[in-house]
Amino acid sequence: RCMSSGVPQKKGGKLKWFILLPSAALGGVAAYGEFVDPEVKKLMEENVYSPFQEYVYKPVMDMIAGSGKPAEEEQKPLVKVIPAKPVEKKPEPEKTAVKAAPASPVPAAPAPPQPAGMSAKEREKLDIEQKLQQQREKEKAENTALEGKLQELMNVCKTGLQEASEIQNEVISAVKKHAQALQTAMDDKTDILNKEGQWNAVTEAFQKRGVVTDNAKKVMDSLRSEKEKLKAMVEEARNNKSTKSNKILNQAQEAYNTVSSKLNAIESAIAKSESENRGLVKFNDLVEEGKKKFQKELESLMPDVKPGKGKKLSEEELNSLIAHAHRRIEQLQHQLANHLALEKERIQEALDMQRKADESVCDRRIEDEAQKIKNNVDLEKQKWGEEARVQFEVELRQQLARQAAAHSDHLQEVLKVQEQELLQKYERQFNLKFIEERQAFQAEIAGWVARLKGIETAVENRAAAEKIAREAQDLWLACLALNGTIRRGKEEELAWEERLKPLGNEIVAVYDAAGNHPFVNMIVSTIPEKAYVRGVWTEDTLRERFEKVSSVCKKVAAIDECGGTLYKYFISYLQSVFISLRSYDVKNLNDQVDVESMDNFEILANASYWMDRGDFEAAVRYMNQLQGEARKVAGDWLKEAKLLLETRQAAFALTAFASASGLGTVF
Amino acid sequence: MASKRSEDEYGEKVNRAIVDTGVKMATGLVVGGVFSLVLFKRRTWPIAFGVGTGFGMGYSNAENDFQNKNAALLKRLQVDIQLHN
Repeated sequence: RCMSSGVPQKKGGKLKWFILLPSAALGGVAAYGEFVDPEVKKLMEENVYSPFQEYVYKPVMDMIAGSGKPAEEEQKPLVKVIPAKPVEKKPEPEKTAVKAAPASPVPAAPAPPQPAGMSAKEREKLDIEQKLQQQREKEKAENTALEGKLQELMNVCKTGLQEASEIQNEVISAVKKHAQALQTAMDDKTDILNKEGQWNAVTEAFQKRGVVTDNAKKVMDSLRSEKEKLKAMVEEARNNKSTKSNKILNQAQEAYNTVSSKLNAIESAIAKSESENRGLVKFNDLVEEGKKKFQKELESLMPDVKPGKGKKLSEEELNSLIAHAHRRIEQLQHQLANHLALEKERIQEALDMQRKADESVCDRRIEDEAQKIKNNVDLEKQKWGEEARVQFEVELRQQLARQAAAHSDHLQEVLKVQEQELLQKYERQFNLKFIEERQAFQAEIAGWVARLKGIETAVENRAAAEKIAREAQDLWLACLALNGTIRRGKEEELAWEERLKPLGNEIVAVYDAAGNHPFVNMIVSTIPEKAYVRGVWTEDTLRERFEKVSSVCKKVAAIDECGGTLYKYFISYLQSVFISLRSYDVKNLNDQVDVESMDNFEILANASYWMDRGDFEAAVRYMNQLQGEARKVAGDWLKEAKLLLETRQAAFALTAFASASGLGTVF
Repeated sequence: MASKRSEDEYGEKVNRAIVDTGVKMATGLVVGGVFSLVLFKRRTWPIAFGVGTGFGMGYSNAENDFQNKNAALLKRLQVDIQLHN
């Protein structure tokens, strides 16, 4: 396969896919962006179209169009690359302006990074600014482009002009040379041998002249075209409002004027020299013609004779030649006579022609001068017009400034007045509202204050109640402590005497807890001092002690306080052995008791019965009825028991009081 | 340690009485014995006498201890006053 086709195919024809697929993809995306999703279009423009335009299209167009042709300047930039608002643009870059291409990506760059959080108004402003800026830039670009072009053109014209003047000189010299050569060739009779050489020189000079003339024509044509271009551009620029006021136009106009005048001068000089030498050329032509005629006649007479060559001429031929020559001479003499006759007329004609030529030249010159003057006048007019414009502009600005100042002053005054008015209105309204608000606020505050006061009193009462309750609790606790101490004493001791705990602390606690309550004070004062200092026997210990006391009392029950003899004691002891306390009937607590009738044994029986049943107080009451020695024996016990009972009574009273007062505060 | 409880007094009194009597009797015995040995040519009666004397003294002490003569006097006086009135 490599040999059949000239080009080796890679992988069996996959190359085309490398081109087709990407272009299909691009086309598809472009179509999608065009019709469906503008975001995609934007992306495409950003990433594909503008680089393509910058790096591919523009250089290519530059290369094709050459450098510095002003044709592109006339076209306005048709397209902006990425506007802030969705201005429609063709996907293919259409603009061909050289300068606008670098200008347009510039507004593209600042346009997209627009902060999103701008309001519509700001955005509008920004758009307008941007548009103005773009316009300004465009104008600037156009102006600079125009300047560049004009400058180029002017330079070109200048160089062309120089060239043209050089060439003019050349041409004139060439023409002169040609004329001179011709002259020498025709008139110089000294150097007949070198006639050919001279004629060759003539032809050379003629050729050179021709070449130079062509050159000059070319140069002048080009210069003219340049001049025309310049003029056209200047006119165009004047018509285009964005470049109307460019100073360079005047320069260009001047340049144009000079160029055109110089060109005309050159042309007229060349024409003059040509016309000067035309006569000579004509003369030469005539001579040539005559010569040729002569030669033809000679040839017709003597066809096989070549002048200056070959064999000698025969006599006949010579004779015929001479005859011919004579005839010719005659003819020529005739002609000459004719000519002499008509000389004046001819001269007149020639003069006329010359005059006509001169007139035409003159006309041309006049035209040129007129043109020049007109151009100058135009230029002057332009200049004056510009100056006047500038002046008007300045005056206008002054007036506008004055007006603006007046307007602003007026505005200021009006604004001040309005401000005052508004301030007053506002103050009035504000005061009204303020008073209203304040009243409402005060009413509310009063309400709240009343509530607050109510709450305060309630809280105070509550606090007082709580305080009383707390105090009652304290009192109650203290009484409880007292009770507990009375009941238990020092629990860790074993001996009865050591169980005594002085109640001082507890009583003081009670006293303190009660504050200065009279009831408590009174009760506390009834507590015997011994209880404070030494403490009281607990009921349990007294109960334990009662055993012994009872038994001893029983042993000495029959003895009265006088004591007794040992015999009596013995008898008493004997009696006690035989009497059992349980044999006695015990009286009920609520019965009236005739204590005189009870003997010690009965008393003891009752007491122990009640002690066994737990009624300490009853027991103590009975024990208190003992008489005689039994009483003495039970004396200590009784004392302790009475102490205990007293203290307990006080403590119970206090507890009751505490409970009562506490109870009062609970509910 | 010294219990001044009134109910213990009886017991203490009894103890004292017994102890006292015992001691006195013993002493009497001893003295009697001594006397008997020394003075009374080993007769028995001084011992008995001594013991008896001892017992008697002890008994007497005990009785005094147990009795409360002031109270008795007061009572007699009161009775007398009452009788007088």
